[in-house]
Amino acid sequence: MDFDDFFRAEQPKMVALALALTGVPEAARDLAQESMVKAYRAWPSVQAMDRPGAWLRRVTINAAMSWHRSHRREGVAIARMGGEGSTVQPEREGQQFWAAVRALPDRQRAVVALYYLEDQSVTATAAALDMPEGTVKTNLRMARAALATALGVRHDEKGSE
Amino acid sequence: MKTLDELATAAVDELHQQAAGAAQTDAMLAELRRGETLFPTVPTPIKDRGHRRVLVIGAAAAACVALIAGLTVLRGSDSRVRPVDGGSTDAPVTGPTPTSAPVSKATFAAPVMDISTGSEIVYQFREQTIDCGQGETCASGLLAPMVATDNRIVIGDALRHRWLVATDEGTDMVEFDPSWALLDAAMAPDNSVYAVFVADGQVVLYRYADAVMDAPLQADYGRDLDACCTPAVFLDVGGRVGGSPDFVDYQDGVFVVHRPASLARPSLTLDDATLANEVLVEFTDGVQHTYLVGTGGNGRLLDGTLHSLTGRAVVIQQTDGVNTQRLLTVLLHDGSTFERRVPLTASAAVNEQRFVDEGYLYELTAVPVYGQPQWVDYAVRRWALPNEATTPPATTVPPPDTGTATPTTPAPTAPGLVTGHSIDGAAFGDEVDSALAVLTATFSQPYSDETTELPLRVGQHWENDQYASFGNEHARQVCWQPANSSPLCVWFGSDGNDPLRLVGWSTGAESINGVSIAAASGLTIGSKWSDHLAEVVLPPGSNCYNTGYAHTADGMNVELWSGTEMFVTIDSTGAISQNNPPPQTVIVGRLSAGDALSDTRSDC
Repeated sequence: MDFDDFFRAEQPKMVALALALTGVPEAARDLAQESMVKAYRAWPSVQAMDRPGAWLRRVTINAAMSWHRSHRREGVAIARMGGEGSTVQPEREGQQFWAAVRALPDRQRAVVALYYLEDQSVTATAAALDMPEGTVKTNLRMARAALATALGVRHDEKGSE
Repeated sequence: MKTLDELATAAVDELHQQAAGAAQTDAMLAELRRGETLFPTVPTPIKDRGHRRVLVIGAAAAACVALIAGLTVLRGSDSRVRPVDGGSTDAPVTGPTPTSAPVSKATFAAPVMDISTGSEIVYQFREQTIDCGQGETCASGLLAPMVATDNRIVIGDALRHRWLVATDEGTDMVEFDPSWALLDAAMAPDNSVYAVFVADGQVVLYRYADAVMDAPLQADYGRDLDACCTPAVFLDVGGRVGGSPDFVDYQDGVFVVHRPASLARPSLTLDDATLANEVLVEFTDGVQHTYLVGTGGNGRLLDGTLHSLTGRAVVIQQTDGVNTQRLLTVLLHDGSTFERRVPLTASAAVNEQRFVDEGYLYELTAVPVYGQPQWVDYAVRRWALPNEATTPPATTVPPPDTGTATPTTPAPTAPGLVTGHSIDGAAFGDEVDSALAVLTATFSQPYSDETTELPLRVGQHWENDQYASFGNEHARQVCWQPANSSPLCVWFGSDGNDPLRLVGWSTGAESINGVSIAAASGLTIGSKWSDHLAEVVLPPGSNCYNTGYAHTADGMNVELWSGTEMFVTIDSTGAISQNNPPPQTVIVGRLSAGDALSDTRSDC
């Protein structure tokens, strides 16, 4: 696979992943681009990897996590200065779901986003995050419980075992 | 009622639709191609053994050729051409032309290697190999505390990482060949080019006076700790931010960072560590901006203050269109200040691309270095500058405090009883054998027992390159893992050669092997906050999403989990709202005391 093919296959997925983790389309596109630039610069090595897609997902998640922290910090800074800002409540269920995902702690957020975006594969999630599958399952179970509580929906245990 | 998975399926579909609209795949691929045309990738190493040897013995001519070759491949094309030795000058253009072909135009005047004084300065230069956890891959971290003392420039980061990729075929990260490598290069405000080489086990800093650069420095930040093994060469000048094709230009005595305006947002950040290093820049006319400070490398701070950085306050975004020189007063974390005039200039549009210019400044404080046993020390020579004092700056810092923990008063001995300074009769300060004897007698054999080394002193605590943080240099974590629950863990810590002593415990489990873990009051995992309101105090602002960080009077930390309303909500735009969930809906999710091995990337 040459780089252009890799880009075309993976970039939309990385945008989706970053969008899930940031909620901001423009930022998602930039973060995905940042990851693709890294892949491009390291293409000989990336191409030779067993799972270049997993590597790319890890890079994208790291970038999105940094973005997320930055924005949260800004929010905290604003609050400290006396302006608590307005809380915008997502309207659609999908928005509510991803907003709840973004409110999870880092690892749970990454695990649950990948899990749902990667067609509920614990194996793929574990590979992308370089985590043991057991760790993924643990984080997934905690994340799903928190999501169910936050969203007021029924939580069945499938997929987290 | 919908199930979580039904809701998730709909949410994923919705997200993919939104992402498809945002992706602009072809356009982004084209943009990447343009950007990477401007910024070539990893430089081709010069592998000729003869060059290496010539470099080591300091033959100026060969070194010059090598340096120019090395620097040239590091730089991309630029439309700005500066006169070299009285040569002609092209019309200045302020930004990269998207459609231009790559042309490396870096040229330098005759270099001058400053070897005349003979005042050789020896620095400690340290290398560590790190297992990235990928099996065949590994990484190398460098400490390069090379700080020029002529009040002009700092070379080398507090901590710089470069990645090696070791595969079955061998190591393919050639730019860090320990026998020959150009590690870093930067241009000083006096037009000198500094370059750091590793050559046959020695690291040498060269200074080339009066070099003239007509191409932008490629710059990158090495936030690649997790993106393991991405080959990259990090220059100490400039910044690649948010995926934008930044470049650094040198104009009239200052560095200017260019970035397409479309990518210059307030949210742009440099790397993880910079997020913790906001600097208030106060202009003399009263305007204030908060900027982030970049460190390069992996951006890790060594002592938690700005002094440990490589000395750059990078303007992330100029918000008010200022185009005149201003005196910046940078307030450092320790209360001291330094000032520098930094032009903030506007630039013309090129092919409808607008660029935001950013001032650049240096802060000049030596970088402390902390040693550890497994480091490999290289002798490092830095050729003294002509105007440099013969006394070198401090190159190493005395080892950090290795205070010995002392056993505390005997702990209460009821099985599973926890306090702010003990667990199950084992008190903070107890040595490993005695503490584990007590704990295993109660909780049976542990599920895991791991030791961790944390070689990097960061303020009052220690870290390693796996994002672990701890109060001591050496850590041992022992955990009991019950079924379907969070574990009970205890930590032992020590510095230097001191024996490990119990320093902390944490549990998310109400019981282990049938033994309840609880405070004397009955406070335990699952307790309702409303039943312990007088005992469990939640300070204002001590919360993170659905978790409140409370404590007891005797020093226990209590994580409160809200089952309904979150303590704090921050939406994707950064808007924050504080909430007060009803105590009867809040339970104790974790109890802990003392120190714990923690993750520096934890969310709150």
